[in-house]
Amino acid sequence: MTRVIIADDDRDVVEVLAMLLECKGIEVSAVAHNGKEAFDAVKENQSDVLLLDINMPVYDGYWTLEKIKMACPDVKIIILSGEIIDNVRNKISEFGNFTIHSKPFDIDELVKDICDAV
Amino acid sequence: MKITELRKHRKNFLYALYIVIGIWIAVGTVTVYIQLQDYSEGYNNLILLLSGLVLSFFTSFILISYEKLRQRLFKHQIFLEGEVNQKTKLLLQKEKLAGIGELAARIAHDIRNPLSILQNSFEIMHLKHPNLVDSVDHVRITKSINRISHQIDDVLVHVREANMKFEKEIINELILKTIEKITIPKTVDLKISGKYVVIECDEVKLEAVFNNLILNALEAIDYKGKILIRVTEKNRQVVIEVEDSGHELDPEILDRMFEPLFTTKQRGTGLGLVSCKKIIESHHGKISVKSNPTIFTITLPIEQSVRAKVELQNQNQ
Repeated sequence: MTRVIIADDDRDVVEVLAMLLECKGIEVSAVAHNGKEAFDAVKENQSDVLLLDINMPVYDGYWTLEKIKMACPDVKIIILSGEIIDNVRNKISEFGNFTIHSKPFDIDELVKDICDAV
Repeated sequence: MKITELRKHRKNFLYALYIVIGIWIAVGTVTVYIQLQDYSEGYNNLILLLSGLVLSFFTSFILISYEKLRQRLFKHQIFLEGEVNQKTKLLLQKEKLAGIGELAARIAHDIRNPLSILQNSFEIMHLKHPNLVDSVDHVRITKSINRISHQIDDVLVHVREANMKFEKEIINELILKTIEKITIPKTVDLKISGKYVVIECDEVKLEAVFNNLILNALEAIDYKGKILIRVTEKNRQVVIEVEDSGHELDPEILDRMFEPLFTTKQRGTGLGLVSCKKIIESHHGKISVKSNPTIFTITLPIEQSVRAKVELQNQNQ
């Protein structure tokens, strides 16, 4: 079973997305509400994919991306963002190519991308 | 009498006045000189007369030159004042846009999260209780959520810095592709004419412009009437005209058409045409509007690289 970590500061987004992914047969191994928690969760949990929000308090998505790319380069990351996609794409381009989904996203497309990433 | 004619008369009058003043000063000076010296010989009088004429010519010349210089400076002052006003207006518009952009980006972000929760919760509900919501309602709700999401994107078009992706496209096909995505009522006679022109452009962004102009035209004719789109080529530029059979627009409305937040619609954001202008300008083109009939005219260079080189050369000069 594919295992994912969800990192988003909005607890309702995390809760609902976790329920929906489990309905679609994807296991949510951990959740995080800021960049630091996401980084710790990636280190502590054996997961395939991190679903990462960008705009988070304390440590944002860009900080998390940078840290994870250095410490755990094998973890696949999919960006889920309410920000302007072009802006996010430009800012993260230095860390590599990532799939970005703009909120509200199509769940079937997200599930497909999670499966493709593994 | 027109203002230009009045100005011309004023100018001629001033020249005549300066000549008269010049002659008067010269004659006065010579007369005083004769009285003081008491010349009686004809030769000396002739010299004095010639000196008087030269002096009067010289004085008139100085006065006329002064007037010409004054007028030139006045014209330059008017030109500079116009430039300053225009630049100030542009700067204010830019500041206004930047403020709106920041606010719009924040609102967009704050709306997208609850919208995402709404969509995902609905999906869970649909998965757990498939009989609770029939397929028509499911499609309707999903479509509505997508519509809100797309409207946010539309508003944000003017916020983001144009990240252009230029490719060769047939402009007529691009327009047809846009029309296909719009529901055109049978009461509307929409025609596209003109030759096929290939230009270098950002397909997605130009589609957004055509979409905006056609939707505006549909609203202007109240969904019944004629819309004509013409494509022509002139001097390595493509000219696209969108004409509608709607009523005449007030000159005041025409002047403010491309101002941010200006709208005549009840549900308009006032950002549609601003976004169009921004997109066209990022293609090194121009957009304008006139009435009556109402015609939006877009002029775009056929090759972006050539235009960019010319602009670079102009900047260097």
